Amino acid sequence: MPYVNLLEDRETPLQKPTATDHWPEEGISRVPYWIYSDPANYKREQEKVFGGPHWNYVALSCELPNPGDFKRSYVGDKPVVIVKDENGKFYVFENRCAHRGVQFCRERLGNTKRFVCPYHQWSYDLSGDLIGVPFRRGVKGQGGMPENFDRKAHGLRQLSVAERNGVLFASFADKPSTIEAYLGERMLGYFNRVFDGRELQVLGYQRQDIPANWKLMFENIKDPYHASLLHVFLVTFGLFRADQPSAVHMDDYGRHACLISSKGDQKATTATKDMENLKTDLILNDDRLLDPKREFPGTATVVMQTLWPNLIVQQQSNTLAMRHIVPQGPNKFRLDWTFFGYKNDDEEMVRRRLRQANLMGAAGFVSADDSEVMKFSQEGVVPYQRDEGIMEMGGLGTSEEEHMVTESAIRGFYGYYRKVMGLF
Amino acid sequence: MSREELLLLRIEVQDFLDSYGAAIDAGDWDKFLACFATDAEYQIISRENFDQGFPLATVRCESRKMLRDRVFGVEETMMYEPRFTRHIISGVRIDPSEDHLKAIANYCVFETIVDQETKILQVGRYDANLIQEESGFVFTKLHCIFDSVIVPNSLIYPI
Ligand SMILES: [Fe+2]
Repeated sequence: MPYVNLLEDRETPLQKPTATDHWPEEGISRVPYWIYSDPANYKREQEKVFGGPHWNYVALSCELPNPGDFKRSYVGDKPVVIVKDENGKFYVFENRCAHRGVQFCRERLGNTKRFVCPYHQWSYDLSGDLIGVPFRRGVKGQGGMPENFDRKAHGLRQLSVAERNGVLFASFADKPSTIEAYLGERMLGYFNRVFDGRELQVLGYQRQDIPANWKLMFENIKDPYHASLLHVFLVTFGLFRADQPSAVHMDDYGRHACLISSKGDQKATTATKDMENLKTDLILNDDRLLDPKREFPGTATVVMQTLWPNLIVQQQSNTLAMRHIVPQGPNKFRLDWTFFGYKNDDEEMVRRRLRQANLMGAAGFVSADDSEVMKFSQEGVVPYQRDEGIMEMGGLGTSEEEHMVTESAIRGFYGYYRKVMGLF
Repeated sequence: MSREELLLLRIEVQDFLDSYGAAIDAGDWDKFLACFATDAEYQIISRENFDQGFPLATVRCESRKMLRDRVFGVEETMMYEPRFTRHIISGVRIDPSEDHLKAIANYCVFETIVDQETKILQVGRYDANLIQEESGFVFTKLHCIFDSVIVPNSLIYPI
């Protein structure tokens, strides 16, 4: 190791410790590594991405069947509460007392007539309006709130709410577009495929804390290139493989996308020679684990939809789940899974969904590969803030493709991300 | 059953559970699979789902064959960081009154990933049904009901 006197090496000026505003010249075929861990960039994302004029997934309406039902959820990293009032109307407000900021709602799911902050007992009705302030008039003529204290001005901060076929979204924007316009015609078609108006039924939850930046989760589900290579289980059993009919579709902005594929046979073809991990001689000991039954129109057997900024709708065979991305600082996110089916599913279909859930979630034959690899990504990029990743598979553009050998949807995502974040 | 017989049976169940945990910690999957009856039902399910009656499990196996598929996934198809586990099993309670032997125990499973400090992977309770076969006890049911719904990153090995 040659000796270098750093103190005397003043030829090159010291660079800024963080690069918060620079995107590589090549554009969206590159992603700079500082965006995965820069604290200032993370703060800006909370404001522009999750706090911006976008619809964030918060809950399924079947989780709140009765008046007074509520659920804790998140918009970005901001805790919110979703409530159904006496008239069946949904409200979403911040889980933060208007008085001193206490996160008052501590139950995941529940039913109530009103919300009372435990600290000073300020109380709110189901629409988030402030209805009670103890000692407002003082005690024995002493203390109390000022005469001009206006209860109406101190309710819980409201978010806009939209519901579409059993799925609830919220937005910090005052007048966001309709959810239908937000999804766009193409993405709405895929959304309606799963949410066709039938009543939904929750089968259960899973939650994982993944030590990686939240954007890596989105990239992962917009990246069909990796699925044929990383996921031995998927390729082995023909569930998702580069030589099967497949497509990458997007909305007009590149912010939402779908990876679409059709199940193929378990066999080797010329296209599988690059898949080192492919094992064609494997069979399941208990084939009930994978016993897919066609239930959606069309030939696709898997549609993974990513909806900006925080939702993945998973339809792999008969396993359906909402994957809600909750950022927790730049280096960690929570993945909140709600597995569901339809209220009119017969017992056999429910069992099928529950068995196939073995592929997904924290211990999923498929998705555990992803949570592991996202940690590796984060650990790989954090020490190299000034370097960048390359995404040139399938060209440099963001066009829709009728194959899966492409990183087009990731480029589309970053194209929109740069616009929202003002990163040029 | 006399008090002595009951005490002895509890120690035998504790022994069985300890050797079950040790098989996982050693990565001895044949020994692990041998702990189950052919039609055994195995689940790793969060307390949140279990208590609210949601049927979704994080791992669900409905037979020893399906458990074999899970082991096969762990050994052959899944990609994960090298790690090992350590089981601490205690508080064994048994109820032999039914036609099968019912056992409940607490578990704490630690996980050590290469180059990282040891962490708690999962804390919960075993809810098991056992029968006696020639080789000893086997599970006809094992539910691992874990207390915190949050899984630290991934769950790779059985609990
Ligand atoms: Fe993946």
